[in-house]
Amino acid sequence: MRFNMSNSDENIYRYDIPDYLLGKTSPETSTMIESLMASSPEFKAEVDELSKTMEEIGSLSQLETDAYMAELPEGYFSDLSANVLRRIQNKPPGTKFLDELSSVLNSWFSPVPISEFSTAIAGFAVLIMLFSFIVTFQTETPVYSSRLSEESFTSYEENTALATLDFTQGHYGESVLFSLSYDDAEAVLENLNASLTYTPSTLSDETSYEILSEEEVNELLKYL
Amino acid sequence: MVNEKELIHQFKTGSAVNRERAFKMLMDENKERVYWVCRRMLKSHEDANDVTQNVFLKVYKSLDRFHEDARFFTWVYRIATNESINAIRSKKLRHTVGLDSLIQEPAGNESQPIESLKSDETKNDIKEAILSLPEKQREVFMMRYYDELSYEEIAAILKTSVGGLKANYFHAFKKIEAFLKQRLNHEV
Repeated sequence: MRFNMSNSDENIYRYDIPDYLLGKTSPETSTMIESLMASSPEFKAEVDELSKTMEEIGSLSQLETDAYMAELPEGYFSDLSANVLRRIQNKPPGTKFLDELSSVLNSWFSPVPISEFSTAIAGFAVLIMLFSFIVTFQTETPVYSSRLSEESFTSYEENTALATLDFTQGHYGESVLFSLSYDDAEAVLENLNASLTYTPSTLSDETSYEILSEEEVNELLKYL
Repeated sequence: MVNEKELIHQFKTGSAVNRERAFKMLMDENKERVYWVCRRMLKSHEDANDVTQNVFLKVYKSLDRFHEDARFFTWVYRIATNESINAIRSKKLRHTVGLDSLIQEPAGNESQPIESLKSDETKNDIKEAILSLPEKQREVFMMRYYDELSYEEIAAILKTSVGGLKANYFHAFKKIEAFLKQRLNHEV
């Protein structure tokens, strides 16, 4: 069988020469190469030259393989699979981080008895309430009732001062009196008694200038 | 011929027993090729044996993630070459690239016959010739000639076209040929 050959055919099939010499080309490619060898002396010379080189490489390769084969223990390949399987079985299976994470998450969301779940929720709620009560009781007190409308909270010290202020504004006279010392208060009361001129007709002469009795004054002074 | 895809599917979906059986069949089908890939890269049988076993352990661990549309041996081959290179690095072994370990060996002792000495010289010349190839050509040459991978497999490993690989393979032979001729001329 003859083909119309060209230089481009030669170039294309040149690259198939190694496979052709090793018997690895398809029947069609082999036929093409043989036709080229018949029609082109250059192509044939190239195939012959490469054939010699490949023979040398082949002989080396065979020598090398023989040397390697000689050092192989008997039955090596039949034992190889068993050795690998033994190593696989002895080795604990490695767990990957993602697998571990997913198993933890699965355990969280796995169905649990409803009683256990509600107990856990109730316990959690109680814990939160206790915690918030402790925090509120220790650190913050609602402001004096008259200030509640301002929706603000103050500390204990601020609250006491505010209460005092409220009392002072409501009972100015008493608060001034309460702020005096014992002697000052006594002097004030005596001055007060002495300066009063109004004498009700129902009162006797002895008591016309007194507003408070002795007991009342002493009682009043106890509070100071 | 074992149906690789079927075995891989069995491994991924089967019970523990079926998994092991499928894996063993895959290993039996490929173990010799894998061993020879490692052996040509490493200096001794012991190293090649260790690496071959490690390769299959790695395959066992990663097979669940293997894409079934890819070629199994191509994937295993890549693992084998990577593991061999790692072993060379970790043990500080000499990277033989299949052949260079013998270059360092003495050509022979005084008692060897002349034919044997000549044969050793030729062997060393060819090995040196292979080692003198550009990296890509040497890779293609080793994969195609020694490991007998198809062009499609090599193309998948090296991520290149089949046409380019054929040219690389051919030029590798031509360079070895030129190298040997040059050596011969020097000797004459």
